[in-house]
This record gives sequence, structure tokens and C-alpha cells, in this order.
Amino acid sequence: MIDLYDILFGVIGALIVFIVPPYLDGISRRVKARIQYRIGPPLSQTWYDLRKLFGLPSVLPTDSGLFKWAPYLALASALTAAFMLPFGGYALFNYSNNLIVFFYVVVMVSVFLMLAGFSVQNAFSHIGSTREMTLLLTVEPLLAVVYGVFAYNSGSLNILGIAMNLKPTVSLVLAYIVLFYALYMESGFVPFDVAEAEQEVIGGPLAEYSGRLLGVFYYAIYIKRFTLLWLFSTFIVLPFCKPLTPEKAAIALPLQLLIVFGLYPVIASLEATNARLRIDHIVKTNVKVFFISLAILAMAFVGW
Amino acid sequence: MDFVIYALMAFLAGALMGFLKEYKAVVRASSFLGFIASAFLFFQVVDVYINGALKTNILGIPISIDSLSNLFLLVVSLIGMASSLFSVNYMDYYEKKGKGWVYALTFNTFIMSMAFIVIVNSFEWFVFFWELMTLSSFILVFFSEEKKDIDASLKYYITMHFLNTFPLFLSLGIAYSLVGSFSKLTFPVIAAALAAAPLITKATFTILLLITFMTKAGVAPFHYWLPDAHPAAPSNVSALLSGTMIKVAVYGLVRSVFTIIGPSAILGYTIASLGTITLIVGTLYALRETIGKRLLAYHSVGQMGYIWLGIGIGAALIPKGGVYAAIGALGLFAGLFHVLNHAIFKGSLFLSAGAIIYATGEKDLNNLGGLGRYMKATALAALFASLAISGIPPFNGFLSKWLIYIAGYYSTSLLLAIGAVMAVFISAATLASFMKFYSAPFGGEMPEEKPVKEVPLMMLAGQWLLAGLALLIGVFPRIVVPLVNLPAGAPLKLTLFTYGYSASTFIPLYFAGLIVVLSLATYALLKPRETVKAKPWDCGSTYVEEGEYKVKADGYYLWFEQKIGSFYRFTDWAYSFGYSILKYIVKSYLWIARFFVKIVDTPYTKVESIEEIREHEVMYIDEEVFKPLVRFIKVAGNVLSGVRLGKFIALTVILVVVIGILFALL
Repeated sequence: MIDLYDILFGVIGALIVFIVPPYLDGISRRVKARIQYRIGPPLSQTWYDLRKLFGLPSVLPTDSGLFKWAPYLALASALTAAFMLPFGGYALFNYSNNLIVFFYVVVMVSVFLMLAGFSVQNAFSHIGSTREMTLLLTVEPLLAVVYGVFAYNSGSLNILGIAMNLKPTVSLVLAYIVLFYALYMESGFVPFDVAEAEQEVIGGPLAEYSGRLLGVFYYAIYIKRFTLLWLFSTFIVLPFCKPLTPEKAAIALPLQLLIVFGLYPVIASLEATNARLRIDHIVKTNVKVFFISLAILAMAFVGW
Repeated sequence: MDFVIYALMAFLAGALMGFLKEYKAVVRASSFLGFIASAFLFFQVVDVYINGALKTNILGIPISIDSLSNLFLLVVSLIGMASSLFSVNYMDYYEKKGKGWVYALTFNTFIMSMAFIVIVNSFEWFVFFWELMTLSSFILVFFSEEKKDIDASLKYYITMHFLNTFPLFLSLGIAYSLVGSFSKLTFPVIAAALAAAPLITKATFTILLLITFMTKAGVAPFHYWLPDAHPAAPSNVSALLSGTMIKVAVYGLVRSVFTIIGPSAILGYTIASLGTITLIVGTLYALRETIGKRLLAYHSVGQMGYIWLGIGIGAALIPKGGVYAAIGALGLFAGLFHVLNHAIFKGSLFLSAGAIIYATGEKDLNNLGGLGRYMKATALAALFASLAISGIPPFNGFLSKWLIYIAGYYSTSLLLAIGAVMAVFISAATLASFMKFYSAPFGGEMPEEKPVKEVPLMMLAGQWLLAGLALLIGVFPRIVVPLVNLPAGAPLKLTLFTYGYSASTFIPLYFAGLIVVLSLATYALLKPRETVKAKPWDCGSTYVEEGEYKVKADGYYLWFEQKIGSFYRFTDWAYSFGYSILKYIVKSYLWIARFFVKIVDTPYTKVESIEEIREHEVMYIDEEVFKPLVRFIKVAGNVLSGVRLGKFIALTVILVVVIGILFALL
């Protein structure tokens, strides 16, 4: 059943997914520049960079077909993940509505990034790929706990179902904090940018990429970051919009966008004021965070 | 139709192929007959699915194929087909050993015994075929006859002896004492008798069966034999061991819990907890493994944990009734679906590992690399199966794992929810170790340039039969889900393309289509521009060889392994504890053996360890008794052949002897 609202929200959502992510990076660069007493590039700078990369030929260091196809598969995965999120309550492509499915699709971006890194004979891209995987290994358990709290709290694991049925408890607030931490880390923002780490492992899995292929990969990563943030803003906005009527959805969509735009400067300032952590530090910290979050899960089951 | 009887005949014919002279003819003919027999089993599965349960009698063995048996028969037939196809060429690798007839006999017996375990309707025959399966697999495990492999198979056999044969025979005894007749020992009859039995009998029976199936399935803490035994066997047999044999133990578990004993909360929570522990232990050990087949074997332990978690959720929640029963049935369904899925992708992975060994002769992932260029078809099959076991949609592993998570999270029980949390975490660990399993041999370049050829067609056919199924089932779950759901009866949301439970749905075809269309569209839109070829940039390093310029398989997740080191220390301790128990069992065996075995080449040596028996020339008690007679006959033969008697004299002697005997009788 397709009605006008679906099409309207769909079009707006698609525009947001395709156009906004590089601008968010632009905002981030601007904020970082201001913190460092620079003026900074224009907001569209990231788009200009991408356009330049799209125009350049690529150097192929291997015959592997995976190396050539990975950027496109990563981009497709990032877009597919974005399309299942509610834009004002309406998903663009409703192939699933489940939170776990969403995170699996997001992980596919990392999977193709790692496969790309491993497909070429370069120690730097191998190191980057193993770091990306190690990071994922420590993020997934945190997300798993968040699923548990959400499922018990709302009785559902569907994105809309969770947002509509959440009951305010202490454990829920803590779960939101864990969720934000996990999303921040999975996006690979600065203290956790060990996988790409330009100064250290010259871009990690991206080390051998250049030109258009690199551009496609960057675009995929921007969209992935945006998608994760959009999920968070959805969980903030939609619980206040129940029951979800088209009118409320029309308010929800700009609110979601606003929160994403509002959170990005916060993230940028966190990035600008922090130095990269070492991978062993991250693992050590996250093992602790995992045990703490198990306590949060227990709290949720007690009813707090 | 009784396709089983044709399958049985084909298996027997395959075993008889051992009489052929030439090694290659033996392994090819017997493997191909194994394929045909497995195909007959598959026809049987289709037949039962269409025409309903089958009750029949083959050579006096009562057969009953209901929906649960049918599912496991499907597993046996699929992996049997793929593995036999693969064997046609793969067994050439072992030509030096020249034990064609051993292979022909045991390989076919092995598949046949597994097929019969899941379809017999008599506890007695169940035990018989169970022992036949253990014996034939034991012989296959030490097929290569290297010392390490013999140790592994010994460990396997002694473990099975103590933790499988003893409990099984004891439970058979309990069942017999309850029913009072061997001929009536069918599962429903035992169930009825057990329901009236006192609690202590019931508990003993349950614990005995649980130990049996835990050990065979490789559930912690009885998993220690598995990572040694599975890699020791030839790869086609490893595929059967990991794909099918440990699933047969799951059949035993489900059959005994749901048909004989009856599900209960405490049993369910026990099974689910064992599953959770197993999936953590198995997979985290797999993470630091670098021998390809050992890595896969540890993952069999880990994935078995998922299956037990699902079945445990089922056993715990189904007795509660109402909405919980629905979630429990969902968990049971997901566990059973994972049985099928795991058999498919793990079978394929072991066959791919076998293809790597066949092509390069190398087992260690550290020394491999760059095979992707030469073995494209194998690489893609391995990639598919790796993504499937990591639970990446739209492959089949995702579908079953996802419903296990959902069942765990919806259970509203903290224990089961923690099980689901661990399952999600371990799914990432699985991904990590399969990134390694795929990338280390197929990615990058070779350590040193060597000519490597793609494996023969039949081997590819075996791999691709399963790898293709992993994708096909992932995209069209409708193909098998109704069959799998028959025994569980979960209220799934299943239409032509949709798959899911209540409000949580997933449309794999839609998703796969989206990924394919989007990647093709972006590729078409942003095609890589005129490209330049160049060598990977090595920062101008001059001292590192090009082949060495990479991260080796053992360095992949070093930091993670170090930071969770206390986990490994604890389980290593538990492992050594178990191992010392095993050592004492072996010692007690030796103590008994001392009465039966005598070292003959150096008199007065006391037997202290198995190695001594192996190193010295030994004589068994039966040999000792008959040795004088044998010696006499030998000597007599030598003497007689030395004395050149004419034919006439020989005949006369015989005549005299015969007449003498006749006189004596008169």
C-alpha cells in the first residue's frame, strides 16, 4: 500500500541519505578548525574532495576482483542500512525492520573494508583491517547488551516497535549512553580511529586505494557514520511522537535531522580535543565497559 | 517408497568396491557409490516430506522416519553427497598410503550408520549404529597414519568409550529394565515407561544421555577431543565429522529431550547454559588458531553452542505454554535450522580447506597466501561459506542465528538473554576468525611464487554444491524452512519471500536485490577510471621480502587475544584438568592391558605408556596361547617344503594317514 506520504517521506529521506553525509563531515572540519583558531574550509569542502577523487584514475596494486568491487559493495551496504531506518517513521525500503538486522547490514561495510584491505599484499592495510576487526569485536558485545535492554524494556526488537514502547527507566538511560558510545566507536571517530589512522598506518585498509575507488569508499564511510547517528537520533525523537501519525512524522523528520546536525559539532569537538588511543587500550577499556553493561542488563531485568 | 533400501544397497556396493585391485579405481568407485547412496537418501527425504511419515522394516530393523528424522536425514544426505563427490578426486592425495579397501569400507559404513541412527525406531539399534559410527569414524580419523593423527584418534576413541559407550549402555540397561523386552524398545514405549518411573531413575537416565550427546556433539567441557580429531582426518571425512556426525548427537538430544524425557525448565536452562559456555569457549579458541582445519574444528564447537542454546531455549520455554511456548518453539526451530545451515557451510569450508591442502600441501595459514589468483572457484566458495558462518546476510547462517537471538532476547529470562548477548558477541568473533581463514590463504600474494593449479572439477562440485546452497537457502528460505519447522512447529511468519517471527520480519530476496542493484548501479555510475597497475607500496623498505610484507595469520588479533588472556588461562587450566583425567583413564587401561599384552623383543619391560606398546614388538594374549601351534605349523610347513618327496610318496603318506584314521574310528 503506497500512499502519498510514503512517497514524500521516501523522496526526502533519499535526498538526505545521498546528500547530507559529506556535509556533516564539512561541519566537523569547520568545528575542528574553529577549535584550533583556524577559519576552516567551506561546508561543501568534503563534497569538493569527493568530486575530485571521482575524477581521478585509480592505481590497482592487485588483480583481485574483490579489491575492485569492495568499495561498491561497501557503499551499497551503507545505503541499504540507511534505507531501512525510519525517516519520520517511514522506511525507504522496508526489507526488514529489525534492529539486529540493521547492525548486521552496517557491519557489512566493515566486512568489505576489511576484505579489501586483506586482498592486497601490504602490511599497512593488513594491520588496519585487523584493527577494524578488533574494534568490531569489542563493540558488538556492547550492542548486544543494548538489544537486551531494549527488548526487555519495550518487548520488541523492531526499530519502530522499540521507539514506540520504551518505558523510562534508569537502565534505559544507561543503555542509551552505552549505545552512543558503541555507535561513536563503530563510526571510527577520533579516539577510536585506529583502523584508518593516517599518520600511523597510512589509512589502514585504504592505504592502497586511490582515485575513484577511494572516493567511493570515503562516501560509503560517510554514509555509514550518518546512518549510525540517524539511528540514535531516531531513538531520541520518535519515543516522543507516539502514536505516529503522518502529522507527527512530518515534525519528527526535521527533528531527527536537527539532532544529527546538533550532535555532529559535539562529536567534532570530542575529536578535536582527543588523541588517538592505542588498540590495546581500547580493548582493555571495552572489556571493562562490557562487564559494566552486563550489570545494566541485569538492572533492566530487575525492572529498574 | 523405501529409498532407504536402495541407499543401503548402494552403500554396501560401495564398501565392496574395496575388492578392486587398483587404488584409484577403489576410491573413485566407492566414493561415487557413496554419492549415489546419499542421493537415494535425499529422494527419501523428499518422499517423506511429500507423503508424510514413513514406518517400515528393513532386514528386521524397525524404521520410522518422522519430521525430525527427516530433517537430520536431509543433513546426512546433503553432506554425504557433497563429501562423496569431493572424495572422487581428493582421495588421490592419499594414494601413497594405499589403503583403498579400508577407505571404501569405512567411508560408506560411516555415512550409512549415521543415516540409520536418525531413522531407526529402536533404542537398541540406535546404540548399535551409534557404535558403528564411532568405530568407522575412528578408523577414518587415523587414515593418514601420522603419529599426531594416531594420538588424536586414540584420544577420540578413548573419550568416546568412556563418555559415550558406557553411558549409552547403562541407559540402554535402564530402558530395558523399565520396558522388559528388547523387541519393544521403541522411543514412544520408553517414554511411556519412563513417565511412570521414579524420579531418580528418570534423572539418571537423563544425565547419562546428556553426557553421551554432549561428548559426541563436542559441548564444553567434553569438547577437547574434537579439535584434534577433526583436522586429523582427511578433509572429506572432516566435512562429514563436523557437518554430520556431531549433528547426529543433536538428533539424539532432541529426540531424547522432546520424545523420551519430555522438556522441562531445568533441563532447558541446563542445555542453554551449556550452549552458551560452549559457543564462547569454542569460538574464542578458534580465534587464535592458525592451522586451517583446527580453526574450523574449534568453530564446530562454537557453532554447536548456538544449536544447544536454541534447543535449550525451546526445552525451557515450551512447557511454560502461551506466548512463551511460541518463543520456545521459535528457539527450537532456530536451533534445528542452524543444524542444517551449519552442516552446509561447515561442510563446504572443510572441503575448501581440503582443496587448499590438495593444491599446496600446506595446512598452516601462516605459510599461505595469494591463492585467490589461481584458485578462483575455490576462493569464491570459501568466501561464501565464510560469510555464511559469520552470519552475514543474505547467507543462510544469518537466518538461523538471527532467530536464536530473537528467541533469547524475547524470553524475558536473564539467563537466556545473556545467552543471546554472548551469541551476538561470538558472532563477531566468528567473523574475525573467518576473515583470517579466508584472507590468509586467498588474499595478498604468495610467500614465494609456486605453480598452483585449481583443484579438479569433482572437488569443485562438492564445494559448490554446499556453498551454492548456503546462498540459495539464505535468499529463498522458503525452500527448506517448512521442512525444518515441522518438528518444531514455531509460529513463523513465512510467506513466499518473507521470513521472520511476529513483527520482526526479513525479506532476504528484497535485501539481496537491493545490495546487488545498488552496487551494480554505483559501479555503472562510477566505473573505475582508466587504471594503472602498480606494485603495492612498501614505504621503500629494502630489507623486507615482498612475500613477507604482510600480517601473518597468527598476528591478526594479537591484541585482543592478549587482553582477554585470563579467559584463555582459565580454560587452559580446565583443559589440562580434563586431559589429566584422560591420562589416568589411559593408565587404568594400560594396567588392564598389562595382563593381555606382552612385550616380546626386550623381556621384562614393564608397560608404562602407550608409546612403549607402540615402539616395541608386542604379543597379545591370544597370540601367546596360539603361538606354539602357529609356530609348529610354520616349522612343519618349512620342513615339509624342504623335504623333497615325490608325488607318489606324498600320496602314500596321505593314504596311510587316512586309512589310519578310518581304523581308529572303527
